[in-house]
Amino acid sequence: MIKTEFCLEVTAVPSGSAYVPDSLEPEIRATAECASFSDMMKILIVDDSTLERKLLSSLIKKNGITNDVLQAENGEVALQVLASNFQDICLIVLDWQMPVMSGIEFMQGVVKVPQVAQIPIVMVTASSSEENKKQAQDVNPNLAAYVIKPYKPEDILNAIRPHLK
Amino acid sequence: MAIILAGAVKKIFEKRGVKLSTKPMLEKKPVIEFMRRMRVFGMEKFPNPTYISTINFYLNKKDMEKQVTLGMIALYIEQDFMEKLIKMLQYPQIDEDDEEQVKDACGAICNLICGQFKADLSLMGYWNVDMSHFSSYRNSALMGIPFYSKILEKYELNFYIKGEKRLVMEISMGPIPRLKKEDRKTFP
Repeated sequence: MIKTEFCLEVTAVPSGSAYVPDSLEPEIRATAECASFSDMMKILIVDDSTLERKLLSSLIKKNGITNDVLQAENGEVALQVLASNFQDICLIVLDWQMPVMSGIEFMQGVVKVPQVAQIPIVMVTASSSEENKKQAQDVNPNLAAYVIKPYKPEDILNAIRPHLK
Repeated sequence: MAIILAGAVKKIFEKRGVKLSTKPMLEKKPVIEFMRRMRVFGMEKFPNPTYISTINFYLNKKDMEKQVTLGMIALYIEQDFMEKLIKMLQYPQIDEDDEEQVKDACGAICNLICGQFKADLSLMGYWNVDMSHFSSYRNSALMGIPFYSKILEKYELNFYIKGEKRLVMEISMGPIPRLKKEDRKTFP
């Protein structure tokens, strides 16, 4: 297996407090502070296809799921989003084939970081071979689900719902 | 390989309730090569502006990192049909005037088909090859696309929906190892 090494900076804060980086503009800080007190955790959708992200976001909203959705177009951007929002993310929906950093590479890194390793990951991919599914499960033994594209709405919703907070 | 690809297209479309009019027309054609890359032209397939998406295949992750290409699949869809096809495949509406949105949509469809193709290869006892993310173009890929340069032939498949040619796929693939029955559960 090819090793992927990268650094994920995660800032630990006492539970119940809101972390806002100093670099944010005052108005953004205010928004971030308000958002951090929201009861709803967020879903992070990682897929290089804007259309696929739009499809899933729309399915989520149309089916009464009120969690906010964050989006990333590849594993590297997803890491940045995760680093900034890990306390607010309750679920990651992850594609496999993406430029810059694939879903498998992203997952290889995430499972090694205790602060984010517990966030459930649902893999949603066009790679429907049994070998690929096994490879994903080998990388992440706690993989929440492996959904094949094109999926039926009920299949993806059934995979997502148990992990929503 | 072309027949497996034809089967993959049929499966994906049927999953979304889209019926193909007839069996695809299959044709062997020479690869037009320039600087070790395959030329792709939309105007060869359709008389109107055409979107093209391509995905490359590799024997394993190491080859993918070194860009040692095993094969390629290209998908061609006429610009005028894209919005309709996206709707038929039950995707959200796209803005057909937004080139990036249309390229992305074409790529998403190519990704579905190639994922199915890869799985079907695996089911038939072939090596579990690695596939790239999609790359999309309008009318042509200026720099060409990587392909298995030892084979200078490709197969072209024309697919018909409601009696009209609506999709064209091309496949050019090098030799994919076949697993012995006892080795089928292992992968690179």
